[in-house]
Amino acid sequence: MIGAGYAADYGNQIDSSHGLNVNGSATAAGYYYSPNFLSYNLSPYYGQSRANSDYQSISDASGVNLSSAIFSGSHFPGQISYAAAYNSEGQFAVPGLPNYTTHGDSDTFGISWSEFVPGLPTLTASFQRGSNQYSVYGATDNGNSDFHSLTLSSNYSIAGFNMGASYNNGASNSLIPEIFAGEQSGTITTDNSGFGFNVSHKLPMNGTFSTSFYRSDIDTDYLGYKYQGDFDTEVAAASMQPTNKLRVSATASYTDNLAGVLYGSLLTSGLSSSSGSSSSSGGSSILPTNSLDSSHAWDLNGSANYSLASNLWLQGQVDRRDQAYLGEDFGATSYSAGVTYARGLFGGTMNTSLSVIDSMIDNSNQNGLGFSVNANYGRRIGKWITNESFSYAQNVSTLLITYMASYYSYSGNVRRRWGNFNFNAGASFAHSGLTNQPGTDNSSQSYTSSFGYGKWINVTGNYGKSDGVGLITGNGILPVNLSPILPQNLITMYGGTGYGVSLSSMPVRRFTIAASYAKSSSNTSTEGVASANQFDSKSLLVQYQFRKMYLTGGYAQLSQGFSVSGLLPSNVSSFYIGVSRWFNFF
Amino acid sequence: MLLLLTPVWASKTKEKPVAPTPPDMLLEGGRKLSYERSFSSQREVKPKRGFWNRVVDFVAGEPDFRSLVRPYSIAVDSRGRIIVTDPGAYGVHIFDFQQQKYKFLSRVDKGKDPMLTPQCVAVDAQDNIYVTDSESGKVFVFNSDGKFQRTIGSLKGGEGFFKRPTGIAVDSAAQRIYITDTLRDKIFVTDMQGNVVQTIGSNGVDPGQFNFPTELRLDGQSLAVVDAMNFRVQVMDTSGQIQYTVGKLGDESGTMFRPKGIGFDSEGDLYVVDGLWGVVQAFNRQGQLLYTFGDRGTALGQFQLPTGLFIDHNDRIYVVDSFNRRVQIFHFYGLGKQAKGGVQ
Repeated sequence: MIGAGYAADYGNQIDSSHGLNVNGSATAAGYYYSPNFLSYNLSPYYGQSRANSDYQSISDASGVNLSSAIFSGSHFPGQISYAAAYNSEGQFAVPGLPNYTTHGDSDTFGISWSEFVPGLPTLTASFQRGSNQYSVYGATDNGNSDFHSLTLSSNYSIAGFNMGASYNNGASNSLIPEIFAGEQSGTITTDNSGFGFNVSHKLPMNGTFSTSFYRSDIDTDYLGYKYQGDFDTEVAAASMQPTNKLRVSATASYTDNLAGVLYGSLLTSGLSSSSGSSSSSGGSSILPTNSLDSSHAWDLNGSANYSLASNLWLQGQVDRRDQAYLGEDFGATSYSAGVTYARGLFGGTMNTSLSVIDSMIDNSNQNGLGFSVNANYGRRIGKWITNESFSYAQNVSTLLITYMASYYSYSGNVRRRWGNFNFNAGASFAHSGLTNQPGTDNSSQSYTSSFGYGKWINVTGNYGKSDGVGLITGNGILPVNLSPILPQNLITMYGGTGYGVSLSSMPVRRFTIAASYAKSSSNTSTEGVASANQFDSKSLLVQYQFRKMYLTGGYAQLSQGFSVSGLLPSNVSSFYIGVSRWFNFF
Repeated sequence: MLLLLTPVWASKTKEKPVAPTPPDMLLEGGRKLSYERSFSSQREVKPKRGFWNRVVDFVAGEPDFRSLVRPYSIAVDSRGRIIVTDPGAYGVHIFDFQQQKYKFLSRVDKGKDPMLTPQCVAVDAQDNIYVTDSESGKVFVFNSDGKFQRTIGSLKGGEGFFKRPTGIAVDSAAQRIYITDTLRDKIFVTDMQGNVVQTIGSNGVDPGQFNFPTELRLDGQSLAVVDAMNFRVQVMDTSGQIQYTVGKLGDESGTMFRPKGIGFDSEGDLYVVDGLWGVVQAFNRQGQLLYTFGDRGTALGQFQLPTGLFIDHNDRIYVVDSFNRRVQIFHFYGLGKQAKGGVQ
């Protein structure tokens, strides 16, 4: 696709420009000799924005995406991927609300190679690296990050034993803009490595036994809070099915560093990525819990499942946990019993489960009774199709013994068609927090609705509201569940509302109209510094296709500001009118 | 980008290699079968484009010509227009090579009475087009201009009366429509309004019984039915009385494995195309094999998963070569009689 037209960009914090604009995109996909020998997909693009195409960037973005596979039909398959984006739009998130907009450059590269020779241990090696630089519209700070990671893994089966081993090594460095606090940018650096082994074997009565060992080493600095340590985790598990209706299992796990486990869980959550551009990935940041040094944890668990009928199951579970942290020893024993039931109800289908948990914490006279309920129901009423799901839990355990969590969530959806007319509406609510720990709650609610009439018109609207506590990362605010153990000067409180509406229409063949509008406002508070933040986005794209040619007109506007920055909200507008044509060269 | 244009222009100056056509088949009594041509897309309806069209083509690109995707059944009307159902394209192609016109009928996007899987096609004396939809369980009727007229078998609530309608034949003189309901092992005979006046057949292996019947072809008062899973074609009169049967299960000449399209030539001989073997076999009224043509392959005269077959007034044999996404046309030169295909 090659296009040319007249374009203009203007705003109060950018240099205005106008003139002839050339843009284009292409895709080259194919193979050499055979798809099993070498296949590739190459997609370069230039000058793409929401004013001249369906590319979602307020600025004229350019870049390339490449993926290739070699020897994919052999015992030695390999893959290579590369992506680069320049002047591209990214996102800075506030949970439950439309994301704030960033723009910058980014690139990622990945390569992996495997060996799958029958009778020999398999081996897979992969390497990834990436970097990005970005700025946030309406804020003064810039952010950047880079990361790399190497992973090796191998599996082998002999004499009924399935064995595996893995090794990983990675590092990331990030400069995070403190756009909600109005302070200087902070840095996050992380080095992590680890290796582990696992083995499993079948047992009689459809059983299995498995055991694993993993050692991790973490060295991190989160905005001046440093942590360095290593931890071992050992797990052994066995399960058996003595009868068709009964299955029993037991698990034992031990770690010599509970703080390390906390870090590890954050590393693997994927939420600690330190990038601000939509096209980058990877990297990691770490939370400060240096007060949890010299910790360890035991967890012994036994469970049984029994099927009373094809739609009725009973579960029982005993769990013993011992932990040492904050210079004290903690222990807890919990017993839980549950039932899972499915049946038709009022012409629909209902799946539900209920479990009751009794937890006793040693030396604290705490005896918490908790329970959790999950229910799903779907029914067709006439031509209306409805689905609902509900979850509620009170006093369920967290990673740390001394903290219990409670939550509820609900989601419902209803839809139907009348000939070409279709309608859809949904709502969801969620609330979670630590029991008896004020200021740890996160909640959100959202409502969506859409209707359409064939290709003539489709309209979608949404409204969302959220509030809670989290930590600033390169991707925005990350909600956290164990906020009491974190230094309070790192916690960010947030809350806000947002709504949006989008419309697409094809009133006549080959003529399309797409428009969208989104607005949100949020308030944040970090270290007692409050910021009122706003986001407003509009876009309109009109396109007429004549054979392989498109006549395109578009307009996009963004307004975004953070009161703590001391700047006026940033306004960026662009419009485009031009013609483009696609060619099929091969 | 400009560098990439070069090989395109250069390639257009190259002459395309001409595929060799199959030689004529000389048959008994001076009869002959010749290969004529094949077609696969709208582009071939009007191959030569005028000067201004070529200018617009250069500037804005060629139009998006429709191609056969998964063609299934075929019929030719009194004006020589070739009508091909295409479940893969969710519609019906109408190729008018004489008038150099093309039309595509589709109702997949319609909220009311969408045509989901067009299967078999027939035309009546007024060139109205009847299309069975095996998924919605209805028959769709279009006029000769391709405008939707009505459905047959549409029940209240939008469901179809037929479980899986496939074959269809129209007897304009008797004002009757014959519709195969494959899952019911029956042929429904309706008036032109769609009211059922008679059913023919039941499940079984005896003469007059069916095991997944599919295609129909009407030749005067003879109604041929592909009895697919009995591996035969039964020819009966319009009241359902058996006249004769051809075929049995096998993999040698004269037997069938996946009988699909059928047709009658001007001498009353029955042609059956076998989807798996990729061969067309011609039988006389005594059920004797007369000759065969075609085999499996992609060359001209060869077939891959052929489905439909139709023989027009001029003894042109149209074979839908489904997996090769084309229709191949052969010409049977008989002893001067008029074929019974075309308008029924």
